[in-house]
Parts: sequence; structure tokens; C-alpha cells
Amino acid sequence: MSLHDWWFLILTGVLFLHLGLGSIDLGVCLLSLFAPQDRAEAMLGSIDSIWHANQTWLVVLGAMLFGAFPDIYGEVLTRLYGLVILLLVALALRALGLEYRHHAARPESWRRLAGWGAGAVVITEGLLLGALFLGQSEGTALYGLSALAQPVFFPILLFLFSCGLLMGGAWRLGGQRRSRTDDIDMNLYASLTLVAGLGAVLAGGLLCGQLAQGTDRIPWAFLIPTAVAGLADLAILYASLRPRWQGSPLPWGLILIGLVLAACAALVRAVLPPAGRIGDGGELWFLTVSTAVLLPPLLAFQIFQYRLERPGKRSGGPVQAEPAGEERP
Amino acid sequence: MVHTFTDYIFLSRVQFALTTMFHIIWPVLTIGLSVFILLAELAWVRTGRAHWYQQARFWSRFFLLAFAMGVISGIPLEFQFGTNWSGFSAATGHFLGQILSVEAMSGFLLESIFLYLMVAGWNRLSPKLHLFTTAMVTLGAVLSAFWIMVANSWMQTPRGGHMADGVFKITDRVRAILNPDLPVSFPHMLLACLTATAFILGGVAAWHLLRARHTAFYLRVFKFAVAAGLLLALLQAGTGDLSGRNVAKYQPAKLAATEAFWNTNGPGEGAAWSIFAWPDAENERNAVEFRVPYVLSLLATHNPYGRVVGLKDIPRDERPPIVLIFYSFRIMVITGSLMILAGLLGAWAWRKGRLTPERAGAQRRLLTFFVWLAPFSMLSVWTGWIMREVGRQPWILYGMLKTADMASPLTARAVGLSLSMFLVAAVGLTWLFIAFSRRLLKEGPGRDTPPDRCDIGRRP
Repeated sequence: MSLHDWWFLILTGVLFLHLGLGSIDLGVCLLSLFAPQDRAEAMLGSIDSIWHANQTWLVVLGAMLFGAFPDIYGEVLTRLYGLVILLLVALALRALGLEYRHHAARPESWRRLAGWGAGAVVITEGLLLGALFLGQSEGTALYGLSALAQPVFFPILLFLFSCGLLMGGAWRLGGQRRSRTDDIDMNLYASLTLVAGLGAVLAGGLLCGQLAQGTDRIPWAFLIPTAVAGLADLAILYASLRPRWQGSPLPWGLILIGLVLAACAALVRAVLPPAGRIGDGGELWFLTVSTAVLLPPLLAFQIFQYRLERPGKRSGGPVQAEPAGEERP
Repeated sequence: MVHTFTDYIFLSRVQFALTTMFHIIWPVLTIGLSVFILLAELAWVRTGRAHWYQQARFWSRFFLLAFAMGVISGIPLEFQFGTNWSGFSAATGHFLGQILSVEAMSGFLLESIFLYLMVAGWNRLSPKLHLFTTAMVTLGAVLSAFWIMVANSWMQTPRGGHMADGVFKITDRVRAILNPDLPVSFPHMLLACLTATAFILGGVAAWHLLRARHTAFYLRVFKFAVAAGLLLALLQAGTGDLSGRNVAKYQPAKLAATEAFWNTNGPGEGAAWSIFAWPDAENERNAVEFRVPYVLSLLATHNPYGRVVGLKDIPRDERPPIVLIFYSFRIMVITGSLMILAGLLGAWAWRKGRLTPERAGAQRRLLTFFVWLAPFSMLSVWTGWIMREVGRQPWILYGMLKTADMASPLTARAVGLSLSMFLVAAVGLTWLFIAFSRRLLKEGPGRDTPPDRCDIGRRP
């Protein structure tokens, strides 16, 4: 494997960190739209401590793509200009809602902004990934955005929405179990998480089918074990949603997303020809060494951050019933 | 004018410039505030005095507001390299992209991970563990500034490689990182962040002292602003001098344009400095000017007869716009001088025993001076960056790549629409920040008391 192949893997890994972890806060924001206001605040409060870092993985992904494959970075972002701008607007709206609700006189509207902003992020990210890997038809209306209103993008949108609901639901269930409170309908959340898990697997299968269209270079040797592992993980996810299960269903949701992404990445690597001016890999050593030095401690710090949410690490009361942000008077 | 607004390259430049100007406000504040919060918290941990705890906790609320704005405006900035400057991205990505990647990991991500532990962990973490999280946020902010300055200073004085087939080939990455501009520009920028924040804190404190609100709390902030502001502004003048000499050595066109200096001085002649001028680029002269002999040679080379290259010795198509950077530089220098003056006046009042809770409110002229200086401290950062970036034109990578050749092939309509969206967003976000900051200031600092227990780490 060349250094470029390694970097393709690293970028897939960072995309996984962004989609997997970011789906927690996107999902919670989406679910908060359907909750009563007091619960919506508790839900958003539960992600206060993690959403910044989760979103930052997107920045790291963009910067790594810029550093490792600058030709592709420039071409893709220019080609998808309108979508990128919309994604930035959606990210800004969600960030505003999440951050400024703490100090707002009427936080309800800010909470809704976070929820609708998260919905917009999921849609624009889905369309971006779809246009990037499945291709974009020609169209001029609405700065080319009209060309994206096609059924071909349904699986990727379904996948991202499923990821959000899967991880958001799993996060709430895990928090509920840790705090041993009864502020949500456990059965409803368990059903929602399971349906979202099934949706992610279904959408993943459809996506793989789309990516494999028109090619005979399908890496079956990788895809078959991945599919088996995915189904096994789905079964464990189902078990983890039962009331007797000790622990959180979150890791199983994360693994499911990882397996779908791994299958898609294998197909993309097998099907798509190398693009851009690829050098001998010597230009990547600085990025490789700095990533090898910086990423492990950062991941360790983030694990430390998540461990602080474990039982016994919070003072009394429900773990997620109080906002983690600076309290309002 | 019509041509200007149908020129997608011009619109892309305006978009990048405006996004940068809006974004720079927030890193300046977060870097400065993080250092202030860290110092206040350190003082609390070491002395156990509750008033330092109140300072750290109160200002950390503003830190969060500013950080959110920094994130919202910073992400578009990074992505604009790809969306609007794809030629530049492709040509320099193997250096610039990798530096931004290191910045995202070592700076931004570190800050993001520890941010909420800092803001929401006051009652959950032990004082020492909380101090550690604050230190990590500060470290992240400073590292972020360092790597951004590495990227920008390399664009000013590119080293460590050469252009081949339209791409910058790196041969010596250490030389590229430690390029000649970095040792001067990074301290200059870091000091700018600290100085501007000190004077903004000083302005906020002075405003409250004038109205006799939370006098004890804001008097402490004001004294800090006076002491830190004076020291930092003096140091900033020193790094500014070094920066000027660096520009004279490596970017003579920028210096000549900044000073509206047309004719290279001969041996035995000193270059005169124009305090005021109105440059006439068409006829290569200043229509009006007020000059002081020898001063430009002294400033640029520390020698009254030092050689300074005039604009006439630089090809017309390699000259930056003159008027904008001529006045930007002067606004920056005048503001810096006013900061030193304010610091001296504040120190004098302090020495004379006038900065006490009983007498501070009576220092109305001094306090009003600080209130007015607060917005100007941010203006000086803007004008400094205008001089730095506009002065590099027409180059995007000095002497190697021209800005006009590096833009993405977009339509003027698309860029015009995104630019309009950014403009509306910038106005709206600024209004939000001011509204929410006013609300925080109205609430005041009085409600914070140090925790008597914590969940993680040794108890206080």
C-alpha cells in the first residue's frame, strides 16, 4: 500500500469520527424538536460538552483533504460551491442555536434553531457526499442546486438521518440508564433506535449497490465479512436496547456506522480511478508524522471527555437533566 | 463599478477579506480572554481569593460567546481556500493544507475538546484539574495562532521549495515553516491579540466604573488592563519596529507603498518619511505630502542614510494598492501610540492613588479615554492585517503566484450571492454578540462563589 492509500484510509477514519460522533449531537438536536420544552433543554444540555469537538472533526477532515489531496480538495469544493455554502450556513445556524440558548431570554426558539439547523446539516451533508461519490447531473436552476433533487440521493440521505436517529436515540438511552431516571419513554426510544439501525443497514446496502453500478471490480472478499459483521452488530444492538442490558447501546451504533462506511470506502477505492496529481508520497511525510503524533493524544483526550459523562462522575441528580453549559441565573 | 461587481475574482477577494475581517475579531478575543482567565484562575488556585475566581468565571461566559462566533466564521474561512481559491489550493496544498491540518488538530480540536470542561466544569472538577483544562484551552488558542501565522508568513516570505509545473515543490519543510517573516509576525500577532483584549477589558471596566457599577470587581479589571496594556503596547511597538525592518528587507514593494515612497534614495541621502500624503499612482508622485527627512531610512534600516527602494523601481504590475495601506498603517500606528499614552496616564493615576474604589469614578477623562479606545484596539488589528495582506498584492504567494491567477472558475452570480449571505450573516452575528454581551454585563459578576465540593479530582 502506498502512502496515498494510507491517507485514503485515514480520511475515511476521520469521516467516520465526524459522522459517527457527530451523529450523536445531530440526532439529539433532531429529536429535541419532538420533545416538550423542558425535556428538549435536558436533551440539548446533554450534548453541550461534546458537540464542539464532534463538529471539529469536519474541520480536521477538510484540512486533511486539503493537505493530502489538494487537487481534489480544490476541485470538489469549487464544483459543489452552492452546497458547501449551504452546509456552512446550516452549521452556523445549529451552532448559534446550541450556544446562544444558554443566555437567551426565550430559549425555546434557539432550541428550535438548533434542531432545524441540524436537519439542514444532515440534508446538505448528504447531498454533498452524494454529489461527490455518485456524481451530479447538470442543472442551472438555483445555482445548480436543482440538479440535486433526485431520487438517486435518497439512500445517502436516509443513511445520514438513520445515523442521527440511531446515535441520538442510543445516547439518550445510555444517559437514561446511567442516571436511572424515567424522563423519557424507554420503549419508544428503543424502538426508534432499532428502526434507525435497520434504516442505516438498508441505506448502506442501497449505497453500496449504487457505488458498485457498472463495474466488475467489486471487492467481495471485504464486503461479505463486513456485511456479516454488520448483521451481527445489528443483533447485538437489538440486545443492547433491551431493559436488562447493562451499558449503553452507543458503541454498537458506532460500529454499525463504521462498517457501512468501511464497505462504501472499499467500493469507492475499488471503483474510482485515482484523481489529481498524485506524487510519490514523499510530500505526505510531514502530514503523516504530525498526524501520528497529534491524533492519539487528541483521541485520548476525547475519550477522557466522554468518560466524564459516566456514572459517579457527575454530582447527584440525573446525568443529562441539567445543561452542561454555563447555567443561566 | 459595474465591471467590478461582475468580476468573480474581485468578488472572491472581497468575500475572503470580509470573512477574515469578521473572523479575526473572535480569535483575538478568545486568545486574549483565555490568557486573562488562565491568569485569574491561577491566582485563585494559588491564593484562594474568591475575587479571582469571580473574574475567571465571569469572563469565561464571554469566552464561550466569542468562541462560538469564531467557529461559525472560521469554518467558512478554511473552506474558502477550496471553494474560491482552488488554483491556490492545488498549487500550495502540500504545504499550506498540511499546516492548516496541523492547526486544526493541535489548536482547534484541542480547544474544542477542553472548552466545555472549562466552561461547565467549575463545580465538577477540582480547582487544579479545572486549571489544567483552562491551560489546555489557552494552549490550543495560542497553537492555533502559531500555525495560522506559519501559513500566512510563508505566503509573505515563501521559502523551502520552488515552483515546478505550477505546483510549489517542498524541499526543506523546516525552512518553509521557519521562514524569515515568522519570528517577527507571530509575536507581533500574539501581542496584538493580548493588547487588543486588554484594552477591550479596560474599556468595559471603565464604562462600569463611570457608572459606579460593581466598582470593586471592575476596578481590578481596569488595573489589570492598565498594567498589562501598557507593557504589551510597549512590547508591541518593539515587534512593530522589527516587522517594519523585515518588510523593508523582504517586501520592498509593500514598504514603498505603505509609505507612498516613490524615488529610491541615493548613497549619502536619507529617505524622508511622509506623515501625511495623497498618492497619485497615475503620475507616480504624491499630490500632497508632509515629509520628515531621514526618518524612513531610520525606521526601515536603523540608519539615517539607509537605502529604501522607491515605487518607481518596482514594475507597475507588481505594485500593491497605495492609498489603502498608507492610511491603514497610520491608523494602526496612531492607535498603538494612543494605547501607550492611555497606559501611561492610567499608571500615573494608579501611582498617585487615584485608582481606589472611592476615587476611581472621579477619573472621568481617563475612564472615558479607555472607553473610546476599546473599539479602536480592534480597528488597529484590522488595519494591521489590511496593510499586511493588501501590501502583499498582486501576489498571493509573494514573488511566485499572482492572486488573479489562482481563483476558482466560478460565476460572479454565485460568488455575489454567497458574498451577500456572508455580509448579512456578519451583521446579524455581530448584533447577536453585542446583544448577548450586554445581557451578560447587565447580569453582572456577583453570583459566582467558589465551589465547596467537586466530583472529580481533589476537593478544593
